[in-house]
Amino acid sequence: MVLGQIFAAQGKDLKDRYILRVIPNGYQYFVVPFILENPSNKSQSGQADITYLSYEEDLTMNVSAYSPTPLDIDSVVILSAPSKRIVLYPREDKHLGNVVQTEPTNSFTIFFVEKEKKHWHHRISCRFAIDDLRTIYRAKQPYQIQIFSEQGKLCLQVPPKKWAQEQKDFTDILFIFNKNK
Amino acid sequence: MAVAASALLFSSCGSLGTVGSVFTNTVEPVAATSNTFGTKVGTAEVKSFVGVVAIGDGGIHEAAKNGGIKKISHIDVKTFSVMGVYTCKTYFVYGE
Repeated sequence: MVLGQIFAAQGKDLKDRYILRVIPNGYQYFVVPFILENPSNKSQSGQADITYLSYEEDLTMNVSAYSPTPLDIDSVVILSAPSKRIVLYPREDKHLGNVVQTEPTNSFTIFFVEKEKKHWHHRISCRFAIDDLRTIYRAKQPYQIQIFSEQGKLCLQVPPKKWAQEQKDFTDILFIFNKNK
Repeated sequence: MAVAASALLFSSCGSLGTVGSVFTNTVEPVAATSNTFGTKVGTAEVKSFVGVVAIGDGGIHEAAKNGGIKKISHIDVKTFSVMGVYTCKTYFVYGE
């Protein structure tokens, strides 16, 4: 019980949820990893963190997805009730001579897939607009990160019991992002 | 002796960083390289209980891998500790 309270104390303050760094063109915000789960399939779990640079309109959400079997991931969708759907495309840097083609805003990259002790660890980097993050954190229900593969769909979301607190924290964090550009 | 004991109890610094004997919640720099300031961040953490059990892959390599970082610009560490019973160290690796 005491240990439970100690764990709960960690990250309770909003300032413990993110780290701010001054960088040459503005600020870099890093929202520390938060837990994701699949309420209907306990064998699937994950965590995510967010990096936002104050001079950009997009952000990076890095997601760790754990599953009992390896997945050959082909697409990622972030779904928020009732109607918001962010489709992320595979990101490939295309070099055309000296020109590097601009990456699509809604995109994802697979950093690595590894076998760990109890599960397979898939590390995915998702990039999308900060306005989309605002929209999905306004919804009454937690958004779902749906990872599609040949082996099936892996769904992750903020635990429903924690959604209210998560929503409150992110509303404040996004306000801070917006006001400190 | 009392002065030495209170110094030990209420403050500590130097190579170990800022550590409170009762409660610690700090973020401090670990290292910096000559690489330009990176816009990517990766983390890894290690936890210990009562100084007996330690779990986690808190290596710098692990943090860099989690952030998709190939060139490290600097490293910070966050220490959260309660009376040494529970300690969590999170390494933040920045780079490109």
